[in-house]
Amino acid sequence: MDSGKPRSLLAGPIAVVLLASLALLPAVRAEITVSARVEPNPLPMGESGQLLVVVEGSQKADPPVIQGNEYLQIAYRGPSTQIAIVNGKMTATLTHIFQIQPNQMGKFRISPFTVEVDGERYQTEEFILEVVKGAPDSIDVGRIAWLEFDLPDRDVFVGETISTQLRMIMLNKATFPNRGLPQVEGDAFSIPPIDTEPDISRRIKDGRYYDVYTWDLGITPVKSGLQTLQFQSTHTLRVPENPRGNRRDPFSLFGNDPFFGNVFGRYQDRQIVANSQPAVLTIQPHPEEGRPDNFNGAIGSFSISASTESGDLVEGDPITLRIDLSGEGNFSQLIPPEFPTGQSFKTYPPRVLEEDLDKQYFRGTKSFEYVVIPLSASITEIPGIDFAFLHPETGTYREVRTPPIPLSIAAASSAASPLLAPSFAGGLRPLSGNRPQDGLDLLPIKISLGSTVVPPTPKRIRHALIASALAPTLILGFAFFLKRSRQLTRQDQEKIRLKSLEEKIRFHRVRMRKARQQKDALAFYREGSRALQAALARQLGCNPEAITEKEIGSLWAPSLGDDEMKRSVREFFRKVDALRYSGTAAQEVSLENEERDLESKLRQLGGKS
Amino acid sequence: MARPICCLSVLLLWSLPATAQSNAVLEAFQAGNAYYADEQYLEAVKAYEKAMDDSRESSPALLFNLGNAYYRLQDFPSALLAYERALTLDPGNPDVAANLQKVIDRSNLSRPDYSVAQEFAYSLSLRTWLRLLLTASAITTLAGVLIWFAPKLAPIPILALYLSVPLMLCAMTGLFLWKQDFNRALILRPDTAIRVAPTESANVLNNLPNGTWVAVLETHAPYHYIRTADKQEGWVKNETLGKIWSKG
Repeated sequence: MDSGKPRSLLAGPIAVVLLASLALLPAVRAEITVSARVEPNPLPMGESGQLLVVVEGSQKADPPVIQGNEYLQIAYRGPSTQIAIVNGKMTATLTHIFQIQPNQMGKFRISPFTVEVDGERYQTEEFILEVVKGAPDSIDVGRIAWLEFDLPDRDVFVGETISTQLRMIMLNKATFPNRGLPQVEGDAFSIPPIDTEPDISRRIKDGRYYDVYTWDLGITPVKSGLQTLQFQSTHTLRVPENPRGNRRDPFSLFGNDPFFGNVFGRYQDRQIVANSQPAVLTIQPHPEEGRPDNFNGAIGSFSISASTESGDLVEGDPITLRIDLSGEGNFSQLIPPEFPTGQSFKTYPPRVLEEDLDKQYFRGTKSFEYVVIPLSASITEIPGIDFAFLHPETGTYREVRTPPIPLSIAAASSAASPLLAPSFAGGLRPLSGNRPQDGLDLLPIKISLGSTVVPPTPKRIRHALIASALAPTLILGFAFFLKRSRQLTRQDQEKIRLKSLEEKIRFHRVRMRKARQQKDALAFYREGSRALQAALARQLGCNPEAITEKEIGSLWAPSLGDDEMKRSVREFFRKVDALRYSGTAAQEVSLENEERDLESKLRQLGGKS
Repeated sequence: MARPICCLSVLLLWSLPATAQSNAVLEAFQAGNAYYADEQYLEAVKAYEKAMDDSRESSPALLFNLGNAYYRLQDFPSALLAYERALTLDPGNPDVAANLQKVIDRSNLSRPDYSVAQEFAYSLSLRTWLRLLLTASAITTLAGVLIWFAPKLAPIPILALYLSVPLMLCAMTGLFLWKQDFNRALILRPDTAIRVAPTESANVLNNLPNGTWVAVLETHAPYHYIRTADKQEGWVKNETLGKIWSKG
C-alpha cells in the first residue's frame, strides 16, 4: 500500500550493507579470553556454589571436561550466552556453569581448564577456592543484626567531636520488612541526624553473608565522667511460623530451614533490637591549666586565615572580613573568634558565611564573615585575630592567629562621613566584643517594678469561662422565675374572681326562679339582671356593678356574641330599668318566657368562658 | 449556685487593677537590678527568679529584666522564654518586643508558630480579655432583666444585647485560645533527650536542640510528656524545659 510518502532510493542498499556487516561480524576475529571463578568464594561448607568458565569473544565453545573428587562434587548445569554492544563494539560472552558442592573445609587449588574455541585451545588461570565453616543449625538473635563502632584509644573531652564509623550488620538471608536507624543510648552523647542512605557492603562471618550499613559519624560527649556509649536499633524481622504450632523459638529454625525453606508456610513479623557492645569512655572536662581567655569550646586541630575585599577605603566605609577555620574538630559547635575589642573599629556580630565540611562535621573549613568599620583614617591595619582550641591528643591548649591585614584609608569629608553605612542600618547591630551594651543593642532594664500580678492559671481561666457563662444564665433564669411566679399569682386571683362570679350567678338564678314562682316580677328582673351582670363581668374581667345598659355599648367585646346578642342584652337591661323606675311592662310579659330567654343568654355567656 | 457566684466575685476582684506590689518582690527586684548594674548577671537572674518564686507574683518589668540578664549570660533560650512570658502579661509592650527580636536576631531561635486566631487572641492580654468578658456578661444580664421587667425600655436593652453578646462570645474565644497555649514550653538545655518512658534508664528516642518549642501534654514528676511541632512525643526532664505559664 502506498503511504503517499516518497521512499529514499538509498534505503534499500543501506539495509543490505547493514545486514551484510552483521553477517560478517563473526568472521571478524575478536580477541578471545577464557577465565574461571567460583561464586561465592569463600564458599560456606554445606552450601553449593557455581563454577563459572567464561569465554569472552566467542559464542561457540564446548564446555571443558571437569571431574569432581571426594572433596568437591562438580556437575555441569549448562551454558549461558550474552551479547553486549558497547561504543559500537560487539562483545559476545559464553559462560559454562557448573554446580560445585564442597565436602570438606579448606583451601583448594583449582587447576587451569582447557577450552577449545574455533579449533584453538585456551587455558584458564589457576585459582584458590576457600571452603569455610558452614552455618550452624541455629542462630542466636544477636547474630542476626548487631552494631559496631570504632573509638579512639584515649580519653576524650566534653564537647569534642569524635570521628567514628558506625556499622549496622544484618543477616543477608533474613527478611526485614522494616529496618530501623541506629540511635545512641543515654543522654551523655550527642550525634547528628543519621543519614537514611548509608554505604552498603557485604561481609561473610561464620559461614553466613551479612549486609553491612556504614555511617561516618561525629559523636560529641556532653557530660563528663565515666560514660557508656552504646548504639541500638530496632528492626522488624520476618520469620516462618511453625506449622505444627510448636511454641519453641522460631529463630532456632534458621539453621535447618531458615527463611527460604518455608515457601508455602506462613510468616510472622517480630521486633528485634540490635545492640552494639557498650563502650565505657572517660570524658574529661576542659582542663583549667593553661586555658586561654579567648577559649570558647573549640576542640580539635585548627588553622586560621583572614582575608578582606581589596579596594580603596574612605573613613567610615565598612570592611568585610572573612575568617576561615580549617582542620579537624567540633565544627558544629564552633563559635566565631572575637574581633579584638578597642576604640578603633566599630564591629558587628559575625555570621557563618559557608561550611565545607564532611558528613561528620569533623573535617573541612568553616568560614565566618565580619563587618567592621574603621573609625579613623589613621588606622593602618586590621589586627590579627586569635583563636584558641584544645588539642585532644595532647590535652593542651593551642592558639593560632591571623596575620594583620594592612589598610589604606582616606579621610572622609565632613559632609559625607556616615559612621554607619545605610545598608547596614537595618540588619546589623553594633557590638562591642561579644557582649552587647545597653543603649547600643539591648534596651536597658526597667527601674520600676510596675504593677505586679499573680499570673493566671488554666484553672482560673476555666472558672472565669464557666462563671461568665453561668452568671447571666442564672440571673436571667432567676428573673424569669420571678416574673412567672408573679404571673401565676395574678392568674390565681383571676381564678378566685371567676369562682366568686360563678357562685354569684348561681345564687341569683336560684332567687330569680323563686321570684318567678312567686310571680314577683320586680324581684325576678332584679335577680335576673344581677345574674346577667355577673356573667358579663366574668367575661369582661370587670366589676359586675359597673355593667349597665349604657355601659354595654362601650364594654361589649366580640367574644361575648354578635350584635343580636348585644341588642337583646341591652333590651333586657332596659326592661329592668323600666320596671325598677316606672313599674311598667311587668304585666305584659310572661315571666316563664323571660326566664327561658335569660337562661339561654346565661348559657351562651357561660359557654364562651 | 453558690460556687459560680463565688467565682464571679473572685473574678470581679481579680479584674480590678493589678495588686499592690509586695515588699519581698520589690526588694528582690531592686537587688536584681543592682547585680545587673554590677554586671553580675547570674546573681541578677537568681534575684529575679527568687522574686517570682517567693511571691508567685510577676510583672512585665520583672520578666523584661530577667530576659535582659539571661541575654547578657548569652543564655538565649531562657531570655526568649522570659520575654515571651513578659508579653503574655503585656502583649503590646514595645520594649519587650524589641529585645525579643534582638534575641531572635542573635541566635537561631524563633518565636512559637501562632495561627491567625492565636495572633488575634494574643493581641490583648489575658486580663483584658477577662475584663471584657465580665463587662459583656454584666451588660447581657442587665439587658435581659430590663427586657423582661421594663418592656417599655425594650429598644435600649435589645441594642445593648446586640453589642454585648458578640463581645462576650469574642472574649470567650480569646480566653479559650489563651488557655490552649498554656501548655507551651521551650527546651532550654542543648541536646535534651526525649525518652520513651519517664525514667532515667528509658531508651532515648531523639535529642532536641535548645530553643525548640514543644507542647507539654502530661506531667509525671520529674518528667514532662511533650510533643514537638513535627509530632515527636516522649518524656523529658522537668529542668530541661521552661513553660510559659509555669511562673512569672
